[in-house]
Amino acid sequence: MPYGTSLLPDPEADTRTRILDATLRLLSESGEAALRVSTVAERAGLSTGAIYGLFASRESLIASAYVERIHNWTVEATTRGASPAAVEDTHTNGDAALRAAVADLTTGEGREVRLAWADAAARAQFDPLLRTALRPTERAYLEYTATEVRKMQEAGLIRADVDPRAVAAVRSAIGIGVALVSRVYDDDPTFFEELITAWPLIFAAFAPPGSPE
Amino acid sequence: MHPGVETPPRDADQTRRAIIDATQRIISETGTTGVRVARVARAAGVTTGAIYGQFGSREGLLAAAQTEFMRDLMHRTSATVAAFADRPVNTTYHRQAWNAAMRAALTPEVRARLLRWASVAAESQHQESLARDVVPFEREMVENLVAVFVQGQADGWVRADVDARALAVISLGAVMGLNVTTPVFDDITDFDERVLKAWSFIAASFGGPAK
Repeated sequence: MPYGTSLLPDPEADTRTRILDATLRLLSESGEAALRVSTVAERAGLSTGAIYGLFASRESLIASAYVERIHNWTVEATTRGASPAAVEDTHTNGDAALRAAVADLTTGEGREVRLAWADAAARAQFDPLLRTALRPTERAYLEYTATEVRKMQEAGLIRADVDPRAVAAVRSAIGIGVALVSRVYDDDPTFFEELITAWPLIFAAFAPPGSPE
Repeated sequence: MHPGVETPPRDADQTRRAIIDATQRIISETGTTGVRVARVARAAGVTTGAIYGQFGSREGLLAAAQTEFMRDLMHRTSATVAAFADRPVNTTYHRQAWNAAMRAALTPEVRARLLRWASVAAESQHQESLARDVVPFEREMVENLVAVFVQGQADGWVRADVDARALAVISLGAVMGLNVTTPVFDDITDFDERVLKAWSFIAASFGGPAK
């Protein structure tokens, strides 16, 4: 079980977490190409044998680290009560929330996690085990967002004739895609303001017909 | 190389081409993890020494292949965008283009390409030399679309009260991102159709004059 639910100490889960934490730190410090299992072992204070005991290969270690990262992020977001794609709450929470959410998406942890997600999804095409590991996390995230959309439909804030899951998929897709594509304007601070101006259109798009803008 | 088959001698450019082509085939079949220098050498009919001579390392080979992929993706998208830009303006048709583009992006062939782009972008986050190579191609893809949207604002099929750059990044981003999120619901019948319907409201929100 990757995420232990037992109240008793679980040494294996603990070791697994230590390994994945070390892997994630090394990935964000120096990237994937430079990642060596021996360096992970050193950082985690374990032997390489201990790592190979839990992960079949370097590739499977890297993939598991990405899944762990996405999982932690979605659990944190849902526990906080924020919609996982925090950007979705911004039209009820005002301008400051909009700015914070778009900043997270274009420069913050939000960008890194979304890039990790896109990367994991790309790898999962060729890796059934990774797909199996990743799918429940992706599904939980999107179902949570869909539930939020459904609530907004019931409150009359989102048109009733769209599938909430489809809205969740589209909005999360925009989050992933913008995190990725906005890199090309990283050197241009005016682009951030342009994005802030355009963002409300995404919410306005789903307003019930006839509602004031 | 098959025994007994005469292969004409190849110059350095042809050898490089054969190595890159073989690498691309392997990546599209197995992802980058399947790329081993020995395997590429077999597939390209060259020695591993030729590969190391040309690219230095497996990482160097992968970076060259990813850069080549991004260059090709940029050329493909710019050809599509140029063909669209050359059409006489028909506001209804042009507003529908967002929906047509999304439908095209959800076909298996395009999906695979967009996901590969996503993984190249993720990789290059932590690999400055790769970022230096690929970001110019990404930027050109976005700029091509921005130019069309700016024209669309003048022609009245893109709303004019928001920046074309933001609309281009959101549109291109959605096209890329939906290939990550929609497979999660592949057990739901016609999920892509539901997504296309949801997307059509965003397309309508982006199209047309300021509302």
